[in-house]
Amino acid sequence: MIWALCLANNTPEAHRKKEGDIIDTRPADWRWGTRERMGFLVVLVGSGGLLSSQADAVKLTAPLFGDGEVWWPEGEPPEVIGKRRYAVPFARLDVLARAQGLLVDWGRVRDEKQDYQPFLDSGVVLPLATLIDNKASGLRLSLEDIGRIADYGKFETITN
Amino acid sequence: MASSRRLPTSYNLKTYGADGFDRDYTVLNTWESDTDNNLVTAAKGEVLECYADAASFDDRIVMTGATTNSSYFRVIKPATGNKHLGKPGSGVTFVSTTDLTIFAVTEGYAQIQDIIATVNISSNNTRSAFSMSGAYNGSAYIGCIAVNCLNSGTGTVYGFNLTPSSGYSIFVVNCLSHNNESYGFYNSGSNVWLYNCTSTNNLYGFHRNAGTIYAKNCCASGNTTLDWSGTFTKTTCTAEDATPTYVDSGNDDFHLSSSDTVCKDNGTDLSSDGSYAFDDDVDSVTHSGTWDIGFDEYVLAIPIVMYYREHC
Repeated sequence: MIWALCLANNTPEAHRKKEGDIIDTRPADWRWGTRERMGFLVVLVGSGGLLSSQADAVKLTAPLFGDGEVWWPEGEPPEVIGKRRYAVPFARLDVLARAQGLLVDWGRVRDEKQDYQPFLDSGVVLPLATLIDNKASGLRLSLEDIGRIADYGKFETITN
Repeated sequence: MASSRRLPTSYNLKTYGADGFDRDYTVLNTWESDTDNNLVTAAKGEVLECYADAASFDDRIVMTGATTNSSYFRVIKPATGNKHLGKPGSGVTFVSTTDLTIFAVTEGYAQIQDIIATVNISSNNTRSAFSMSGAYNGSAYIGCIAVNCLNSGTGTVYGFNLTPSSGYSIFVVNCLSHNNESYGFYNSGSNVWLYNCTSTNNLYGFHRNAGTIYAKNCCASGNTTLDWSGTFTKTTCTAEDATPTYVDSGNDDFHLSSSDTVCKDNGTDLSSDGSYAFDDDVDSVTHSGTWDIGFDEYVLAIPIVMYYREHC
């Protein structure tokens, strides 16, 4: 399955959105709004057999909780210390884009007055494997990690 | 006199709707992250007007992090002409299949107005259509409807989940919670103010787990286990097992019938209320005379007769 990851540009305050934060996930053919096309970078990723539903894919939008929770607990949420837990560094995107012959003008990506979506409009699909960083651990997510993330809330109480 | 629906002193206005309709936003979380700013310093609130471009949206939002005050805050509301008609089946509607609460507010002074929401999930967690929690003052749900919420997993779903931290005040005004799997209004914390709300056909109508819960002009009927569970500070609310007469409860229309004697003219005037003064109902109709109990102020339907004069 192919998903569109909606990635943030940067804001200065610590707990607000940071460059590359995965703000939302939608099916690849989603037609984004005018502000979304200017204020975010949308990249298409192939998930293979993983993230088979919107309910699974949205787990990649979890915030960075102060107490290490990985998904929204059912009670009062703990302190949010970062807008998102998972992110795709733009530098990594640049390497992957060049490998597919796509040259990205990162100045235009970061300019929120421009409707510039190089990945979305070119239809370049990136591999999900080792694309996403876990900001809590500082490590890249493996496909096994992503499979586990998709299952949060389904089978076990979330305590870690 | 004041409407229950508040807006910031000055604000930026954006639009939300289905993909392909050229709205500013198609995803609530993108608007949320774009407007998660210091609104007080900017001296601008943020208002998102939603268009009912689709029968329902599978979407959700956690409003958290913006710096707000009573003048500059965030609001989600239907655009003009897109508001529901006081019952499910019209207006801006969210039906979520994701293991999350649809509208979760942990931020001061935020307002969610006139939205319909249904959670339909299979999860081991407890979720809700609308929630407010944390150490934040002044946030409110106004004219919102939680309906048909179901968790087919081991968890459950509430209509409204209201859990402010001790010493903080939140408000729920002119809202309806109907036919939800668990609590219509779950309250735990101080202080929750429930004004002119109606809770019907849930497992429990209004439930207090802890804290100080004020209920004024609230109506509960037909809830399976109890209409009222726990101790509330009540002002002119319906009694346990009350039987108001609605327009068409079988089709989810809980406007008051002309023949009702339980709710009509039995409420308290809240237009000068010390905590949240307002004078309108779920349909934005201004209360007149003695207030009614519940989310609807009964108004006599007046047929409109039009006369045409033909040119000779």
